[in-house]
Amino acid sequence: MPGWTRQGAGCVNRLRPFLPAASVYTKREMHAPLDKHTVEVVFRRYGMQVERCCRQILRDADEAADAAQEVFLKLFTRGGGFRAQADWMTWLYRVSVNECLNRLRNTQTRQRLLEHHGIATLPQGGFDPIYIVERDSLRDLLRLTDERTQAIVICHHILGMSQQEVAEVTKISRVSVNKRLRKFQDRVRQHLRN
Amino acid sequence: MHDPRCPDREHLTSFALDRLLAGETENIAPLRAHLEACARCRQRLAAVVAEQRAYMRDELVRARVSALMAALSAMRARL
Repeated sequence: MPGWTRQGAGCVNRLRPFLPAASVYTKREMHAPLDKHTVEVVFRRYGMQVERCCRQILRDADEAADAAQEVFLKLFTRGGGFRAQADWMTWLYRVSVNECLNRLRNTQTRQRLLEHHGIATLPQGGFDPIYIVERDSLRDLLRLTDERTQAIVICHHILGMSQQEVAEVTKISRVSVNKRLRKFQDRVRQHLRN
Repeated sequence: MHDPRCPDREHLTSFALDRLLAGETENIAPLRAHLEACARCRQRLAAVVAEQRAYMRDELVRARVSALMAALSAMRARL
């Protein structure tokens, strides 16, 4: 396919079973046509998981569908530039979490989501103070911490990932994930006491 | 997800099930062993498979892919 450039050989290799050769392209080559069949095959493989991930964080089906579309746009325009050893599911979860966090930080989106949705309790297995907090309040509590920790908290407390999985998705060491979660928990306890 | 009734004390996470279904799990033996021993995780895996089948209705996929293609075209037009 003339004009298309191979990037991130490992990533492309993982998609090779259902992608035409070198289908991930650079910004300069955005004018090259992207085959609809390829998009459909990738979407059928990962679409449900990406949209569910976004829905769990945003708790709004339409907003989640929009967010998932953004994630796939990034996959088809920037996917090849990522670390070769990252598998696609991990990469897609990472981009989904960041996309949703950006949307939650957007005041208008956040206000709309809060107005339209009620209470959802956290899954069992978290730490005590969080048990009593509604999920929407958890999003409020995210303001207590920095952006990297916000992604960690979402992965662990909303998506239910293990600390090892969070480490893989956020590209932060497991020890650091553990420290950041503990620090966040301490801040929440302090916040709830106040 | 901690559960003392689970053979490994921890159920598989949704992320692990997603990776398993996508064929992106490098060391599959422990997961397979867990699934053989844990009825709850087998049920969850079956639920994820059913969810995926329901989600992948042709009309929904066509709508999503068309929207994606339109967005990609719009991006190209802006460049």
